[in-house]
Amino acid sequence: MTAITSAPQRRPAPQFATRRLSLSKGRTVVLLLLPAAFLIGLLTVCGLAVLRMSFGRKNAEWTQWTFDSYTALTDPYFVSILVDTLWLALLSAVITAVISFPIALFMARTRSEVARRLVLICIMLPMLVSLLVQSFGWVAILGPDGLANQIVGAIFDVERPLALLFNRTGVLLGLIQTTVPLAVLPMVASLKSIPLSLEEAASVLGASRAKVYTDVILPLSWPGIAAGLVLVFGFNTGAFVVPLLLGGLKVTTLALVIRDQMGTLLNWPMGSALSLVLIAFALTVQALQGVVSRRVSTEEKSRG
Amino acid sequence: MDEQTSVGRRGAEATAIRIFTGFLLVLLLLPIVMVLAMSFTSVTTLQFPPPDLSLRWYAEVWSMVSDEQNDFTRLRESFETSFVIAVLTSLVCLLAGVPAAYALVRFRFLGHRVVEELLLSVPIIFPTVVLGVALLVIVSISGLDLGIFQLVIAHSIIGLPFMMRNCVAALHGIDPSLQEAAKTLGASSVRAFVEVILPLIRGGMSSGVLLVFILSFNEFTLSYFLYTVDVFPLSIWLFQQSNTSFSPAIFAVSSLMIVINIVVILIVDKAFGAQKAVR
Repeated sequence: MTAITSAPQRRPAPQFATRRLSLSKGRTVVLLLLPAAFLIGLLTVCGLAVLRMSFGRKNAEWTQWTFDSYTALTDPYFVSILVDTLWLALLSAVITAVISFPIALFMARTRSEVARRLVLICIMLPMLVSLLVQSFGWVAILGPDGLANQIVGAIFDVERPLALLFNRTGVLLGLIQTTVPLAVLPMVASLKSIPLSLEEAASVLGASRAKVYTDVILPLSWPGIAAGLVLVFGFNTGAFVVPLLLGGLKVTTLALVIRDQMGTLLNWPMGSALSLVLIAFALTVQALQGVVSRRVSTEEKSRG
Repeated sequence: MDEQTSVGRRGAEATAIRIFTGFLLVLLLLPIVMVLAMSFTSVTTLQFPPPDLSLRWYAEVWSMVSDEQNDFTRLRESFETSFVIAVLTSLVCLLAGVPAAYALVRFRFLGHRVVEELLLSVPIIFPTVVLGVALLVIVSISGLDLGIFQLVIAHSIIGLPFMMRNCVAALHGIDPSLQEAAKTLGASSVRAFVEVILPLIRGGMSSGVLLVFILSFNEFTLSYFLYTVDVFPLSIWLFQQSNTSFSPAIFAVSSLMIVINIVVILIVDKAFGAQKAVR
């Protein structure tokens, strides 16, 4: 494919024909990209509007310039929310990675195509099905007389039902449950690229199964694990629906504060400054993602 | 992989992994299963397990949807709104995504990498909340009343990368010499595209359409910021109902949404499987 499209450039003569060809090619490309460019253009306008408003003053978002909103970001209230959001995202990323690993192992090793696809569908469902709908399920599980409390009550002698809903526990569980495929899929790719002969060599040389895991499988699948961690972390820094529905009013994330500032308080500059923080997180994660995936691909290449 | 060579992978270890995976999958699906189970309760409370199974909440939902006189909560209207938005969003993403995917795969041009990043990744990583509030601000200061298209455009922005990824993957699977052959045989570029390329990426396109449909139908965050009294999608209906009266009717509506989701996922999975088999 690259051979065909780059051929006109490599051929030096005839100059005239090449130029005409590339001109009409340019027009074709522009025409083909136009409808999609409209949608992405709108997204860019949104980003720019937020950027401009963050330097504005309340009720004069478009006419005045000030750094007030950015200095306000150092306010202990906003700092604590920032730290809270990052901590929740980090914690959910680590736990998701841990529970995703055995699922990834199963998917990478099973010889049954049906089993692999079934597992894939099972982990994709929590991500695709509306979080709103699933939050109703969480309410039925974690509520005061929900499934979880009934099980705990049957085994242990507890006086009061555990408070699992409308606090950090509920939010954390929701964040983990909905992001598992983001961690599993890169892990499967990494695990599959480990040649079986390496595992065999390690066991022939006397390594126990545990040692094979810690010294061979884990280090070699690390790029996939890292990619999963970064993806889940990035996804959950912007979490909105899960904390809104499962956090009650007790858990406040960056996204919820943005909603409050823009909606209830009508402080657009402050909301915009916080939005830019969220965008900065997303871009950082995207950059990290690029580094990790390049490492995965170079390693795959070096292994042939 | 040969049975003989998978030294330590069989026996206890494989069993442990299988049991562990099964256990985790049950936990992951538990919220969905609970919604389905609670929708069959015979009482008005959310006690679990339901004392008796019945279809009374489905009957109630049906009476709301089928008879306009009974539809005090405007459930039927929200369902129709969500459906129309999802269909229009899929259409917009199809019309915008297919040509753009073709341009990305078939041509190398200045800024190719940037365009690829912008179309395939940026809308996914861009925080949805920020997109929602920014669109809300733009709509409110411009004073435009786009009606239903306000949400169609918003959903299309986040749906586009999913449509494009499916089409790009499908286009990569096509031998470029096929189109060359068509051109050599005298077909114009447009005709070669319509008669050779489009039929070959039908699988990718339909997966994309279904995925975008379900994405839009389920979407909550953008709808939360952009809904109006007249454009009131199902997800917002569910949200408001859950805040006012937490009746099992919500679980019945949710179960119907889950069934729609599962059906679509199974179709997409089948399309993908078929595509793999062809290659």
